[in-house]
Amino acid sequence: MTDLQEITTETFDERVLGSSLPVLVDFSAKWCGPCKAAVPLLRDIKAEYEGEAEVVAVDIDREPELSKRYGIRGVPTFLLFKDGELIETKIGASSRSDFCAMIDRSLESAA
Amino acid sequence: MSVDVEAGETAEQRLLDRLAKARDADGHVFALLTALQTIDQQRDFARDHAIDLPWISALCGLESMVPGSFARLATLAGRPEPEQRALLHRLIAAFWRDSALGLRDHVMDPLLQARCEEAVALHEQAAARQPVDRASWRRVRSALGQMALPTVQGRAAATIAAGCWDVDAIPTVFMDVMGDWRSLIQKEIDVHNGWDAGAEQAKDMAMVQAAIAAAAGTVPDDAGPSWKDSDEGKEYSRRMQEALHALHENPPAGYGRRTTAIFEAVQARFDTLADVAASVVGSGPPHG
Repeated sequence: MTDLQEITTETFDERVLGSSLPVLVDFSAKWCGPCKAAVPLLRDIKAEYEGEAEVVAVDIDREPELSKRYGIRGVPTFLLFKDGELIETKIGASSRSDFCAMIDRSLESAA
Repeated sequence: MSVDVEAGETAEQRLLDRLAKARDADGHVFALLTALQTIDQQRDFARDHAIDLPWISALCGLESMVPGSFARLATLAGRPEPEQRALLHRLIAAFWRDSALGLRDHVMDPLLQARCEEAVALHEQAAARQPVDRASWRRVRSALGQMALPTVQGRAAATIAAGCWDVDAIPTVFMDVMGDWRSLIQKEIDVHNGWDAGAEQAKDMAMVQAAIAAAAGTVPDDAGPSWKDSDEGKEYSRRMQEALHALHENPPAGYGRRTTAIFEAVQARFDTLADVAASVVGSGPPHG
């Protein structure tokens, strides 16, 4: 989580809903093993899509309000936002290919 | 990681010596695999043993499934890096091209076939030491990603897509390929047997619960957190462990059938992958 920008309740609306780019939000927790395992993947995806999409993180323990707002029941949960709307949800660990496919779909719908 | 280099010792021999030191009584090199979990650890090892970094995660992945693979492919050590890189791309292409691995046989959809061919052609281009730019990898990966459905063909698309990265950017790409390939094998088993993963798991859990209930009874409804430390709680725990042990030793018909089938299929396919890898690299038969 330390490699991804952490989003708070205060910054969520501006950084995620107000972003001009698709934003993949990683809802995770420091005590969660699969969440930690996902970090290198997400870091690679952030680098791959630099300037085209954003990848950020929300610590559910620090931001319970955000977790409640989006009905986060388990971690990791990944929400993809575009133009202020939630367009896709993925629950649990996933592969690099699947994350890329999520982001690619959001980019294609802009074309 | 420091390495003692004796005069005249080749990179291959140095690697074999390192593997021999890590090998336990059962022939496993778990201690080495544990020491190569992070990319920084792998980078140090790659440098110390003159192995191209992307091969390290590939070797660790193969070794974890087929013990002895690391040693079998030790001939990589010390070869020129462009040659090692080319061999890795040839191995990734082999998932599609090699009849023993047979990924191509799973794909009937003509559009998906064409997209897989396009992706594999890039690996063959890289294997011929012609540069492939990141935009090309992204293009084929995205095209395949659209077809990566939770079907057997979809998992084949995901497996090919998983390898479509600039390995300088993603040196662990082969691990991703193996992971998606494992998902494909699981899906094949489910489709062949008409199994649903959730339903099979529920059946197994029901058998476990029934075995425990038969041997140990049930936990009282009013049991609080301290019940497990009571005489009754400890007796329950003892009988539960006995029931689980008996279930493992003498499983009822159908118990764990999906898990067993997947385990056996994955192991068999990874044995084949290790043979194909050795063939690509030009190594001999398994050691020992």
